[in-house]
Amino acid sequence: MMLSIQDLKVYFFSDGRVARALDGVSYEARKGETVCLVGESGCGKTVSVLTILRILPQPPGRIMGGKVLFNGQNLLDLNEEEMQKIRGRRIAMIFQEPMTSLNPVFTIEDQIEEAILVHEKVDIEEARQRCIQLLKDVGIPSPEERLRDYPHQLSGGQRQRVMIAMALACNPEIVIADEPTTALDVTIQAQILNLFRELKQKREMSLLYITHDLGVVANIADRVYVMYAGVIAEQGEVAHIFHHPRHPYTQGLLASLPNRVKRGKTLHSIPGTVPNPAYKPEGCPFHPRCPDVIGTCRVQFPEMCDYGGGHLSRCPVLYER
Amino acid sequence: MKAYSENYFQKTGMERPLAPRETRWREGWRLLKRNRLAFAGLVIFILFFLIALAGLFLTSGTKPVFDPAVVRLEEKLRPPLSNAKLEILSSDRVPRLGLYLFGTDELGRDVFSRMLQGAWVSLTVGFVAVGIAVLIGILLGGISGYYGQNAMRADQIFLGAVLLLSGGLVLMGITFFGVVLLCVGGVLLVFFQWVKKRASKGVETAWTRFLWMRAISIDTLIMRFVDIMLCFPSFFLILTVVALLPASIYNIMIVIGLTSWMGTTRFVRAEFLSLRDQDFVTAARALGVSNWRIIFRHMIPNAIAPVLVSATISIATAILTEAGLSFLGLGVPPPHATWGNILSDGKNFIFDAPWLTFIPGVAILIVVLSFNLFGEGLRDILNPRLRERS
Amino acid sequence: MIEKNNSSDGPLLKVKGLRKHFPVRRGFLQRIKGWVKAVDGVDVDIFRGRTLGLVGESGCGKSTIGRLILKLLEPNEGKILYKGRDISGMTQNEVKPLRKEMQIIFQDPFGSLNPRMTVGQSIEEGLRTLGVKNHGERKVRVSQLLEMVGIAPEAADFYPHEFSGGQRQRIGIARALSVEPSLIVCDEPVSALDVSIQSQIINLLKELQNRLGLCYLFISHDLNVVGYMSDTVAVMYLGHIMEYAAADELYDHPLHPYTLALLSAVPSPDPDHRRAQPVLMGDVPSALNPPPGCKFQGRCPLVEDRCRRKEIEVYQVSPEHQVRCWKVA
Repeated sequence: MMLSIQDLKVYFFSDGRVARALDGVSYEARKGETVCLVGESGCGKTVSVLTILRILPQPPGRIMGGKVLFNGQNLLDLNEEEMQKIRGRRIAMIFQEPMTSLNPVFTIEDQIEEAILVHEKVDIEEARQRCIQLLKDVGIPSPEERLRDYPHQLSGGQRQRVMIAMALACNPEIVIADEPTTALDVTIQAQILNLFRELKQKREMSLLYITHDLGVVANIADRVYVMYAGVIAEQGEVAHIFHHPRHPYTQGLLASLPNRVKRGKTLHSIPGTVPNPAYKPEGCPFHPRCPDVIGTCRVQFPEMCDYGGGHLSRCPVLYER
Repeated sequence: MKAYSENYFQKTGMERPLAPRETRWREGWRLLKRNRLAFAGLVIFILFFLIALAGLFLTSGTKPVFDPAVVRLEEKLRPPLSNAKLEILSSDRVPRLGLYLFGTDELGRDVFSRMLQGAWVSLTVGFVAVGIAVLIGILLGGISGYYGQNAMRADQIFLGAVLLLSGGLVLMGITFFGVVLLCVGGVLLVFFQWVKKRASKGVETAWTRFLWMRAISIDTLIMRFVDIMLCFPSFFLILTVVALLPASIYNIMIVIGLTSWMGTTRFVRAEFLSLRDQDFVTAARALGVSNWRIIFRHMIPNAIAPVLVSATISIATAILTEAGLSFLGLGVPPPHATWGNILSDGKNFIFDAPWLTFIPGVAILIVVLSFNLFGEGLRDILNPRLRERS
Repeated sequence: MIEKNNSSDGPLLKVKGLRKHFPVRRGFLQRIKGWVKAVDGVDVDIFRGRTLGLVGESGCGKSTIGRLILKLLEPNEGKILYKGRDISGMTQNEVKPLRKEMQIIFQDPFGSLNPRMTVGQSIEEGLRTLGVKNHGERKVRVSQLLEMVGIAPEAADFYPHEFSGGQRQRIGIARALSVEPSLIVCDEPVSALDVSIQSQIINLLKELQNRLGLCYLFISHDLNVVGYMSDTVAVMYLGHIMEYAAADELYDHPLHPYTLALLSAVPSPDPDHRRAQPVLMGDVPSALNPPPGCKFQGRCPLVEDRCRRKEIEVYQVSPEHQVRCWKVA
């Protein structure tokens, strides 16, 4: 097991209110695997990876329990110095906004080389060669010339490629990508997704991919975790999740995707609104919007039900049917 | 505000608001209470306001409760908290309670009464001057930000310049030239109308093309004027004007106001420029809402918060400026007391009677500090990045 | 032009040769240094009760078209015929009575409502311009409008920050409906919303269209959403409409290489259909001083010399299908 999160609880405290951002979340990424975390805004997917890297703003956030096991070691027990050695070197992160994640006053070369030099003792010339190779790997044309460019001279897609190159700089064992294509156009998104697929094959790294776009998930994931309101609603192989969803939320999401074949028919929709983490409903957090709700859903927090083959769903109602 | 039960919205099956009710005021109050320095600033500010108001009533009138003008040469430079020598004072010159709370000055006047009187001066100067500055700032900044990109035609600029100049001359008392220039402006107005009418029939010459040249945008015009105004060190500008005008409290207020509007103008302009591109303003335009309604109903309420912040801090500056002017003897004329001239009078006796400089100095310090703290706290509270969005 | 049989009196809105070029100013004197050709000769028709989908990547000029039609921007060239009247040259005063005929819904639900006004006051702004003077009558209309978009009428007294994104979008729709328009420009109305909320808003828009006979100009970058919403689809690239066809025709028989690339780039929510075909290379070029010839030449797999020489005209391949590419026509 490369990365495993166990029963992680992260609460946010502000003005006497408690927002339970993560309410006992467990997921894992194995070696060489692409795992997708999918969910809507505020479901806790970003909070969970910030916790893994220990860059969660504290306060207002506070880790209330659980473990983050990376190759058997609990990252939550490490001190800042030890964490520094893992961050960037063994676990790398790619953010959504390539525009703001790159420092505008340094060249591409400076930024990628810094990522290398912080963690490894190599001389400048070697770092430079690695830098060129990385840019080649992420598909930037004529990388020798791009080295002296500043971020504003690149397009959005190229910036995201540079971000990926930076993340790969120290051959991390796992890359965490937080909505890396959301800000990009469809044709550029397709390029980046292809790039991720290629890189994963070449480098045998694990990829933890966070997105809200089910199309992207279907295209890139090996396994999927569907999150809702700070809990995992359903998890399983990508084919299981898309072909036999076992949670009313997953079913609703898939049914509500528009496409032109459905034109003329009313689109399925999940009623209501995503709950505010500070005012989550009792029992199953999805029950106010659920079509299959029964009495116990309103009072009792549901357990995971096993459908075999690693397919789990947090809905006993559908399980018993 | 009516309170709606949670159940109501669920029963109707309709969408209900997400967050529980909290008005902006209540939210602001909560954030303010958390920011202790700002809260302290607000408390001092309210105290100062009450004291100044009390000072106005207690020190004015024919028989004031605290008379700042009574001269008791036999009791000069008494230290604070000393008792009046009742045996040598005639009964109408005995201070209230028979006590000099803050001591007396070189003429034996009660410093406490004088401080009370001066508090009101400081308060009004601060508020009126900043009020003038903010009004000018909102007007010019608003025009600049909302209409700014529209270019002005050469004839409009020319006409505007002539009319402004004539108005200025009349105000400065050079009536004859002013009126003559005003008449010239009137003639020009008629002339330009006539040219326009003729040109609309298709007569276009190099001359009309010159007249209608899109010379400069309103925005550029106003902002360059702001730049020019900022070139003058404002204190010396005020000194010059005060030297020309008869010294009175009203002139001081107006002059300080007229020389400190530039910051607000820039502020309001920047706010308006960003608000203009916001979707809700576009929506209002698409709905056909009139320009003035967009400005007053949609833009100013959203732009006013940062203006209030800078205004609060400007009040502190205005109070300081007034004190400085009084200290230099160019402020409110004696015998009316202000904190600045108490300080100024006291400096000659700084070793014999340190309280004469110490008391007004500390008062100015506390008031200015409280305004600044409150202003900065207000900025934090109103900063949308610090408050959660949803 | 594409004709629809069921609309007897021609298109509600006809756009002809529309151009909007923004000057790029630089330097101390703000001299014009170049032009961004945001919209560069666009012809489209919008019919009563129908939806025209406008799809394209960021910076292709699709939002600019929406704003030009609403007269929020002045076009440099071209005609906008609303019910047969050309509104492109009208002054703001002349266009005022037409304001209530055309409305807009925005992408960002956080910026589209005035944070200092209650929801009710925001909607009332429209009723005022409609000429509803009576205060009580306005209140009643606000309640009706809110109910129409699925918001409890009591919500009128609340401020925008008290609502979720989807709810705010509904309120924005209610505001647009307040003046009883016939055409609504929907500028990416669901792009900023969560997946589960998107379908609610899409259904609401469809339902309102059926109930009120509205006509939509639906602007989006999402081909799935556009495919669901629209009767006719126009694909834009750098200010040009590359392909313009009835929706089914466009999705079943795409002709233009750009449309093909766009369709193949959309990830399908089915793990069995993972994309294997090559994706379009390169980035969207900037609309600042584009080269002569076809706008798509830099990324086109079929590019030839002729594409670089002169501007490509529009070819009518079938009554319901136009394409701006000489090779596939």
